[in-house]
Amino acid sequence: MEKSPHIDHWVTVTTSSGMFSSEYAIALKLASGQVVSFFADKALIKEQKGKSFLKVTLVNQNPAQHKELVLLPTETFETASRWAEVVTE
Amino acid sequence: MILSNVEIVRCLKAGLFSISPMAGDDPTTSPFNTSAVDLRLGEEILVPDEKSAPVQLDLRKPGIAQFWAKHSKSLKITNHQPFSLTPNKLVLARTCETVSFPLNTTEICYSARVEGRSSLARCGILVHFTAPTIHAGFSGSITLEIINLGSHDFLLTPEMFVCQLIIEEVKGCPVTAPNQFRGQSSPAGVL
Repeated sequence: MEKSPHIDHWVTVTTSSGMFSSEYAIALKLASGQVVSFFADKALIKEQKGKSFLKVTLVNQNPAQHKELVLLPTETFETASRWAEVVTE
Repeated sequence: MILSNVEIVRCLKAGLFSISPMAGDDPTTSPFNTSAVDLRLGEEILVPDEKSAPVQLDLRKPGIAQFWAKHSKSLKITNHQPFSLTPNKLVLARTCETVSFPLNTTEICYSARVEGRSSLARCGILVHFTAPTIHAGFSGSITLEIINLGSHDFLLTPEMFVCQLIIEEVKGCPVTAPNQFRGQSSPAGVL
């Protein structure tokens, strides 16, 4: 099924209980410092070393500024957009 | 271009997108219409909390998702215990089916629109009233905003055909793969 050349990419998020049992409420810090929130299926979350990571689509990277543009699974409430610029980890 | 029932089945079999579990795979019978496929209601219903103190939502402030998670109640419906949606009430629900419309750079991408059904509309039931687009790249079950604009209570039962999915081709690639990752299978940074 998976034919996309886009490679799974993961960004650090904070999770809490979602509305539906199969989802989390997500808090994501953007490169600008703004914290945005949205819902994402639990299948898109990985836990590792006490941190939560959300699966996103990597659109572009700017190594010089340590930033990357990613496409979120759903739009955020605060920016009404799926595009998000985050700090490269 | 909207896909016909026959083309939807062909694309499903070719793995170009997925709808699972399907209620059937014969394009000449339910769940197919000539240019759409019907989806079923899942068993979880979310009822917004109406007992909390009045709140003015400000989307400029963080934590909206966390607010809604805290101020809603999840109910599981069964055939013996359906949910009675009273007039002018809003609930959220999800489809039984999980859909996936992958982002492809080498093949055509697909997106979809979720629409109501005429039989439910006659009863005054809207199963979505905004944001019908299932974007290319989306994967998951579809969230429905169900409201009763009719004058009678309406029973929501699990696996009822609640909405229809209209699938379309997306012209052009929505997102190109980052150059530095082309041809790689495990770039640095991937867990």
